[in-house]
Amino acid sequence: MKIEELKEKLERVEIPRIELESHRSRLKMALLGSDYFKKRKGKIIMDTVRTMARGITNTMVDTLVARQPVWKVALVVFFAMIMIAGLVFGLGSLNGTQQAGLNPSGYTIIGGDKLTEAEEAWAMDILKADPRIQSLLAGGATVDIVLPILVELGKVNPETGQTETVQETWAQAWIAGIDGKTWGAVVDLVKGEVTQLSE
Amino acid sequence: MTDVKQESLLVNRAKNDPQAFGELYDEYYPQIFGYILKRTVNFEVAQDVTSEVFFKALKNIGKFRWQGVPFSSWLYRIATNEIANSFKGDSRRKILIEQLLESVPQYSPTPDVEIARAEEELKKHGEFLALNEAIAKLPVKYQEVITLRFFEKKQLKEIGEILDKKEGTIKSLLHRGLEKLRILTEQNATFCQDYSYIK
Repeated sequence: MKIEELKEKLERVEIPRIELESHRSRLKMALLGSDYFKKRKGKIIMDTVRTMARGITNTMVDTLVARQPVWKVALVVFFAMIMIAGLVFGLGSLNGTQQAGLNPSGYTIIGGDKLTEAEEAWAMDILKADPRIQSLLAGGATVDIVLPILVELGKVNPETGQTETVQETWAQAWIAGIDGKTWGAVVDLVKGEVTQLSE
Repeated sequence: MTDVKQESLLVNRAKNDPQAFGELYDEYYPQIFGYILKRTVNFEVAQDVTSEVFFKALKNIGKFRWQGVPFSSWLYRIATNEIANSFKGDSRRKILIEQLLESVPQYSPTPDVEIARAEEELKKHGEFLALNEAIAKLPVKYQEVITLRFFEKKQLKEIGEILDKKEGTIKSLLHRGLEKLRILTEQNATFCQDYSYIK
């Protein structure tokens, strides 16, 4: 047999297409139920916290480095100290249902339970409407996880004119770029805007 | 999956999202199981090696970076390595996979009747089995290139990506492998008609 004949034989041989359906479905269940995704979820949350903390630190440093009046610098330092205290005592044990801490926008993260489907969809809409996130998504990034955060903040009551402490459910998202970069975003579901985005 | 960008997004999501990983699994299970079965011609081994491949893919998907090598080639590469390990007889691997699959609550081994049916189906492909038997007598490096080229219908470039070798090397391996196969088939002109080695 010549080599060309052998090639032809190999090209035209009928190849079996056999599957074992029970193995396929059993393996899929084992993979999707494996510890990998559970551990991964925990890691994502901690990465988000670290990313946000890094963003806060960068903001503080930028503010301090810029030429600002003394009272502004003092204000930033004051908030920074509160934030660090919040991070040290609260965010260390952050998970999907228990969160605590402060952020630079003057709201306190006091917890987080569960987003309803409507809230999650709303958070995604807000994220997708943000031009900064649009440019990330255009570059191939994906919004991988949306978690709830319960925040406490001061708001002026239009009827009384008094500032009152209110609690609101916001969302935080983790955005993964195709080059391995990650961003953390805080979404104000009441105002309908992304209040913080940090790499 | 032909849309590279779409696949890249799906792979990125699959790093954290079980549903996305499930989509990839559904897409590639038939190809990978089929490839392993063609290389091993043993349903028990094919199941074990396929399970190992997907568990490894899940474990390492976080490290997968889009660098011009398609996700399918990456899976084929893992599969090729695992087939080579199975030929070396790594019993520790088999025990690990059995433990993983037994962790599925609805665990039940692939029914004998399904295996028997699959074996009957495979036996219908006499010409393929005869060729495959001859290929199995070649050194593994020739088995790999011939199977990928003729049974998986891969182009030289893709085989190079899978085996992490230059296209020129693949071409030369293929040429030498075919020459050796030609000699083998001539020596055994009447291809083996006894397929009782299928287990």
